[in-house]
Amino acid sequence: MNRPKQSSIADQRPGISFAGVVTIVATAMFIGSAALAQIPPEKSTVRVLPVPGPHWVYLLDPLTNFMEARVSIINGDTLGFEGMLSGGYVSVLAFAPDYKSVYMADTYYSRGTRGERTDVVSAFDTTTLKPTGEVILPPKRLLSNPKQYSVGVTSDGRFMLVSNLTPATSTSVVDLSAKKVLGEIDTPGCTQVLLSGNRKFTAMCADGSLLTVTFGDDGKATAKNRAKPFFNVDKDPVFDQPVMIGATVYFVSYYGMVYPVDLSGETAKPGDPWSMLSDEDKKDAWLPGGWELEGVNPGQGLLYVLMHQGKDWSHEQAGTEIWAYDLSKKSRVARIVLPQVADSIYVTQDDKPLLFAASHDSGTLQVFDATTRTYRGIMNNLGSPWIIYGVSEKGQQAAAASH
Amino acid sequence: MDGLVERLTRSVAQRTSRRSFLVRLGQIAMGGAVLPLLPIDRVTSKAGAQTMQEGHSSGGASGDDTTCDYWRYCAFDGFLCTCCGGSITECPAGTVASPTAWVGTCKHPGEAKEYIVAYRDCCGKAQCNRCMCDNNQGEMPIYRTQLNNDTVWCFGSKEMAYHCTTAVILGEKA
Repeated sequence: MNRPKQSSIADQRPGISFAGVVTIVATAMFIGSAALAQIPPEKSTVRVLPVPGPHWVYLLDPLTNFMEARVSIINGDTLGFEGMLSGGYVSVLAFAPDYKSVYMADTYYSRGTRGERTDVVSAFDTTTLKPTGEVILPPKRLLSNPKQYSVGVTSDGRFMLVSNLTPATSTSVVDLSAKKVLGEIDTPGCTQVLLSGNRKFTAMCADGSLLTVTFGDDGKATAKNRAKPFFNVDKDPVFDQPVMIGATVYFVSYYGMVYPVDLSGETAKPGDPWSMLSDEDKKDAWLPGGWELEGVNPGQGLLYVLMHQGKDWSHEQAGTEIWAYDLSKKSRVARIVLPQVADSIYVTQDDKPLLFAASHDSGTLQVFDATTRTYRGIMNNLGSPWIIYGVSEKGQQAAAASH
Repeated sequence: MDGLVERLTRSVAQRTSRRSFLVRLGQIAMGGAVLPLLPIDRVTSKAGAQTMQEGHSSGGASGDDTTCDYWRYCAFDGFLCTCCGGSITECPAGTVASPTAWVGTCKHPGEAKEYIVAYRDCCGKAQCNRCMCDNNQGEMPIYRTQLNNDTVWCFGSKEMAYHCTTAVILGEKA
């Protein structure tokens, strides 16, 4: 019978059986460890993190491995990778006010890419990074490239709001303490949740107006007040990922206008818009753009915007520079040239702020000192990051007070 | 029903203005009700995305439909099904053709004619991840949902995982 000869260790090393090799290796290892007896025996452990510090960020890649989100937890001081969270299809995040918990709105299918759809809010402990509970959502949350304001947690930590798109628009109200969905608030033609109070959120509407919704502890709307449109959607739309200082939101438009809007009342109050661009800037075709393209530091009173030299409809082009504006003087105070192009930026909320810039394509996170505007370094191999989440000033104080 | 959908999308597409590129987006009809049409997409890394160079598209019926500058892709955003086992009109095997689509108006480079093109997503598998094509003209933020192309628009398909997108001619622009 012409059988192929089977290869084995014994074939390659005549006279020594496989079992013999294993014995020799094991003996060598024992002798080796005896020779290094000054190293004591060790235990395997699992790390527990501190509550996130002011210079920590959570970097969201919504589609690692195609159907799973990954959140890299980064320490900006050390450029250290502190840990990771895993999520479902295009997840988005929101934090408890004390930053002891992070909530992830997730979508899963029972057979990976197919089968029954389950939408769920998963809670994680920010120190152990272990799941601590969940609330099943109506299976209709907005699925898109992740937006910062698709979900939010009220400042008292009791409710989480989740934007839905079926394609009708509504908002699910989740009671985080009772761990249940209280219901759904219809927001026809309006989407996203800009939180400006414990029981109040503002949604952006298709006609360029803002809808402010107040709701009760039962999760039902008590008032819906729509302000007049404050910009022309067809001529110069505002980006849908603005920044906020307190209850004031700063929108930037495709062609470089800044629109401040006061959300403290029951109806949004637009302020006076101003242009980011001089005639020379316009001549050189500078435009705001990217994904999470704005950052702000309340203490500095500075607005940071990702900029590129582009043209009509280049609004998602990666930025080559970050421009900083004094919000009270409405004027530019700095231009920061990026060593690498970036799609998303974030500025920490403390008094010694760091500026982060992430790139989808290169999977990198660049870090700058936002006071001296100096480059501190870059981290690689972070997937395809879209959103940089950080710790609010109040949240950091609350976390520090609890220790 | 398909005929009705196409008539509706065509009439809407033809009414919209050139400047805004709403031209290419039109509306969709689903279940008999006209809904704001939504350019799907592209929950994805745009790593390696190609774009169409301004004033440049590859030629006519003999153009390469596996490249982003093929004329029919003027308002495309996503993975080309032609690189994913499908064709310009056919979803890859085992996927679900979304009953909804968004439309564009693209100029044929060899003729002085514009055509209405339906961009139809194929859903129910992980993203194909080949031939990412991102021609972002006319794209609006999420609050103008029907013109936002970063949203998964497999509505009407049981599974909403996005795989790739086809580009089907609906007809000549009147």
